[in-house]
Amino acid sequence: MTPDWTTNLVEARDLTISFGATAVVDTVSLDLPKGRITALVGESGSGKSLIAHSIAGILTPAATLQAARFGFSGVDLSDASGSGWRDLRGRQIAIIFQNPRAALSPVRRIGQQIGDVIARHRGLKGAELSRAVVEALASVGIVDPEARQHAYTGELSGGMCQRVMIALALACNPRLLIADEPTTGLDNTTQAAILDLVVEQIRARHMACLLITHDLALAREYADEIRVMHAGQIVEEAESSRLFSAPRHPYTRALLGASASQAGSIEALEPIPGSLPDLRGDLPACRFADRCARAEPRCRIAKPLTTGPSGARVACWNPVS
Amino acid sequence: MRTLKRLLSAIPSIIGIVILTFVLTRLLPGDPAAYFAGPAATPESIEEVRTQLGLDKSLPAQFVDYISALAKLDLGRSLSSGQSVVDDLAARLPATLELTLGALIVATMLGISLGFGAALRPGGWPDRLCDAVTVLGQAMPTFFLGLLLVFVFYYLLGWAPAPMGRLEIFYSSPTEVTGFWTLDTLIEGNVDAFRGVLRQLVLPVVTLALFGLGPIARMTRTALLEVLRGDSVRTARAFGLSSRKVLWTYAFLPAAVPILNTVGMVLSFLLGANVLVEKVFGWPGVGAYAIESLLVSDFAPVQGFVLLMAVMYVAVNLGIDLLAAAIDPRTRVDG
Repeated sequence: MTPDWTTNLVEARDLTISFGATAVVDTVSLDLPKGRITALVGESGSGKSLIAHSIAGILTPAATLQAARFGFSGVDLSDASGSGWRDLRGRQIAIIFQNPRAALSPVRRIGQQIGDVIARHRGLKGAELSRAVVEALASVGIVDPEARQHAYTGELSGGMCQRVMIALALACNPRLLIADEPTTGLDNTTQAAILDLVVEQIRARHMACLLITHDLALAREYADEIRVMHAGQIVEEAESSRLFSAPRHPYTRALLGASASQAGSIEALEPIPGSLPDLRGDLPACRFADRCARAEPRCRIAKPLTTGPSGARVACWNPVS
Repeated sequence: MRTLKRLLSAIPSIIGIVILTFVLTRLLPGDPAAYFAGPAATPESIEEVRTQLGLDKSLPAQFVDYISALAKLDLGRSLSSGQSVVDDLAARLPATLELTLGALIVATMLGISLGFGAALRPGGWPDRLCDAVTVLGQAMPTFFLGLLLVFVFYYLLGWAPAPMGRLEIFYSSPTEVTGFWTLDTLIEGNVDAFRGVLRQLVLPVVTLALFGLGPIARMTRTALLEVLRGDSVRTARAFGLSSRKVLWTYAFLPAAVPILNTVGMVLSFLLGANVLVEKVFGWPGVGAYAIESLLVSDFAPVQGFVLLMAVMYVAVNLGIDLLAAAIDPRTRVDG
């Protein structure tokens, strides 16, 4: 198949990220369609942040990346030192992190940090630059941006730091925003306000978004597309509306059963048996097989193919129907 | 306001130092009255000298004398040189400062470069050199290192000039403007003498710098590695900032304060280590002066020297704190 850059901004085919002999992300295929929010959902340690980092070009040098195809609108992403990258990082692809206070520099005024990025990619200087900085801060709902641009992160709340992070990310009008657990560590009210802001900006600017989260309820509320990840494999790809009404992969089903927003009471919560497998050991072909009630002998031998119509694809030999 | 507070906080240290130097010198063995009266003195003449020097009074009364003299910047007279201690110290201080600051500059520049190299490639050769220099600097007493360098570079190889002061005798000393002979020779336009001054400086500076290099290099490595592995540098990289910008603004700046504190600590160490190094190199500084006075129970210069050093310690720490607050907002928390 040839890449389809009219619909997709990012296409990954058989993406594998490994540390030594351990494949932490295992032959994953993922498309990020333009103008849509795609959520990558999974437990911590499932490899979702590694995928985010590889798209943002900040994969740790300790990891090796292989892919049949890994591109952003025609630019090869698999070589992080490639020259095509210069125009991507921060310019076309921006990322916001969890724990925004740590992600921003503590010794540089927030306005200067945003200014650094704008100066780098938009080449603005002097008065134009400071006007752009104030505009960036104002666009994310920061009151009195003229004064606030001189603040250090230590003087701002966590929610305010995340707003600054978003302003930084949107400052150069990127085409893709990666949000890596953007609300972890913020209180519930702030979480909602931050995500509303992110989604509103994404829609207004017709951007694509990769939302990394472990929170199903959050993905359901904000994402158009959902990719469920388990132990480095994508097990189900579905439109948000369909996934919650008719989950097909046993893991997705188990996740829903274990999530508080789906269960009527605490008693109704069903924990998923076992925990993420140790990726360093011998793994069954389907990495969920050892935790799965529906597992068959072939699940351990052959990796299930991803099948089904677009919008309801599942990688399982014995899906829930 | 915060600066004022920090300035005021130095006052108790100064008061403590004044009391301590007074008590310490009174505790030293030896009787200055007996020394000053000379070897042929009778008990009566010794007592006479004692009364002259005010040493027959009670300790509190002596302390009052000491304080009131101090208020007039009078540190007493050196019994051996006959000069006022303030004049003696003032004449010798530039030599000490030139040596110490020279060593500090060399140690800081080399230390930070080495630490940078070590942090950028942990396990590489700068990293191992960093370890080696630290061990060398910590394990070897400075005066011994000084003697070793003199032995190798002056005695065996003949590369260095004789370790006898700030300038070899066949040069004429420059007219003192700053007291720093490197600057004074340049002001006079005497390039030959300037080279001569530098040649004399090399070995003592290297001796002291090797001692100060290790801590600075190690702290640069540690502080920089921590920031480089941290989230804010990852953000700067993710947003495509140039590697120079990432390294200096986003990695080095947050690491600057611990490095700066170490530089301050090293400067304090160097001021102390100076005493013996000056003796080894025949350097006419305050350290050598203090040792000579100490050996003959000459109280006033020792007292003056300790006071001077202590005040410099306090001043260095004060300066470092103020500088740190200017660089890093996190250090500006009111406590």
